[in-house]
Amino acid sequence: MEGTTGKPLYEAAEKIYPREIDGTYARLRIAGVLVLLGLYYGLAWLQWDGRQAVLFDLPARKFYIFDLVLFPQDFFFLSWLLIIAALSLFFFTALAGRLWCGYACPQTVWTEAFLWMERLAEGRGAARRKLDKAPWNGNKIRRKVAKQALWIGFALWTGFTFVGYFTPIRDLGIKVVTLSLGGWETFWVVFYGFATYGNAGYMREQVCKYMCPYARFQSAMFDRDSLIISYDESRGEPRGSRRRNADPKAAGLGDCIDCTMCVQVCPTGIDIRKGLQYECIACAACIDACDSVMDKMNYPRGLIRYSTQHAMEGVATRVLRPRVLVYGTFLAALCAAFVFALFTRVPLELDIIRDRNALYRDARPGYIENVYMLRVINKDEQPHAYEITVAGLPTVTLETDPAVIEVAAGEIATIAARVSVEDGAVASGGHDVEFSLQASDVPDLATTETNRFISP
Amino acid sequence: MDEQGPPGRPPDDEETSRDLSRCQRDCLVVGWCSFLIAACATMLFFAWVDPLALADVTDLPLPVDRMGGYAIGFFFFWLITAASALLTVYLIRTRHGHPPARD
Ligand code: SF4
Ligand code: SF4
Repeated sequence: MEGTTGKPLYEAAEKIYPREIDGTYARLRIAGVLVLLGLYYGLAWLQWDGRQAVLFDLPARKFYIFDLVLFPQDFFFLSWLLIIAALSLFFFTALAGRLWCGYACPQTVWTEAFLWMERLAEGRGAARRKLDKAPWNGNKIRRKVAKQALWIGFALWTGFTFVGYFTPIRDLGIKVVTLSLGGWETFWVVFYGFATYGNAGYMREQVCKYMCPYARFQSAMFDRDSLIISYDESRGEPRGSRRRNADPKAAGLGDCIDCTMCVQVCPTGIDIRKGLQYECIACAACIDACDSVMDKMNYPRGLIRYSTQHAMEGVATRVLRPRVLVYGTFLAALCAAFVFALFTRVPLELDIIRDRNALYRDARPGYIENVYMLRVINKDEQPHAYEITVAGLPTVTLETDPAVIEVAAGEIATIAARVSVEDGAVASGGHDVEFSLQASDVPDLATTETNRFISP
Repeated sequence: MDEQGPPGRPPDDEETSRDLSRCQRDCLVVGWCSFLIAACATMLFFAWVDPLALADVTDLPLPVDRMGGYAIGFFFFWLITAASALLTVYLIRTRHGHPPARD
């Protein structure tokens, strides 16, 4: 890659024309890409119990994940899930290096898809380079337009699917067809589509090199036993070209024929033979390239291979080491706690808000009254009727409007509640009063909240 | 390998200036990192605060639907995080009294 310092950003990023290579790992990656893209575009359409299976319904502030219905009040579960996801990344990085980058990172997955469309429209590496150099003519315009059309269409579909995880996708689809998409929905579809287009179409490995925090955190998670892609220096060196059937030993050469195939296929433009470098995204393209060269030369495969620094140094690789054990233990504990919390979760919540306008009222002679707003959140899949009681103060009574609280599945009911005590029953000042909410049909479905009762 | 330090070491400026200029890279990093943090902040904030309730208690001319509220919240956070990141990068780049490199 030649120096392009000072060139406009997008032009600079287009300068790499990595050579395409077929091989075991390329096929593995394509399989991974297909599975992940299929999941992303397909899952949004999956129905479950008559509604979208996975939907973070932002307009309604309710999250559906298959059988689970979460409310913003359950944010705890979501953040817990995010922590588990982050820790898994640590764990797998310690074990398997940048396996994530090569096969599962959205940046890789969408770049692969965009590369595929580019090849479809413009041909393979050498043909593309020629096309870019060629003057503008009918053929070039046709091919460039075809590429842009494919890219933009795919990017918009990606944006549409993305928004479809946040507002019901079927309604969204209907709105698109009838051209009645709302302003913000249109905006987010275009925004996300544009981000995809820029990142996967133009930025590509620049994202990995300059913008990815994970790539930088790695050094903290790596050690000499982590799986990396490396060139077997002791076997390859001294490198040098040779005739096909020459005996390398007689010529004093190692197994590397210095064909630079591994450099030509590298999407980040590095030479893996210089050792593990920060830019390497572990895409394994160089493994595929070198293996095909080794096959042609009738040398054993694996001059470049997945290995560890210890293995390369001739030291045994330890899989179970303190770092892995610590990450693993934490991860297991977090997952166990999460599952436990999820299954023992009471699908009911009571929020109490004191009437801000009046501390207390003496509306009825002989009684002191406090007024509250109760929010009863039924997080269950069934509708329920609830009874509410108060306790904690002498002579305390409660009146609600309406008297019986009925809440549909996944809905929130807001009701007014008056708590009163007889004059002189409690001392002046604030007192704790306990509200207990109990479903009439399910004995276990109950919750208790405490609030303040103010007396003059 | 060893002379190069541990894998994952950030590249120094010279090493990678071959494809993007430093200023472009700084802008990218500022934009992207502030975007990530703004996204997290938006999630956290709106997990506790309903945009409709927020519109009720403020005098600002906030939109009356939730999607608009989320969007404005997100861009508000992005503006703040980007401003902070930009200032940080600017101060680091000019810390020796040199003007920022214009390459
Ligand atoms: S592809 Fe293999 S043989 Fe060719 S230069 Fe790279 S390491 Fe050497
Ligand atoms: S050196 Fe290049 S081709 Fe090889 S795995 Fe790393 S990024 Fe991929």
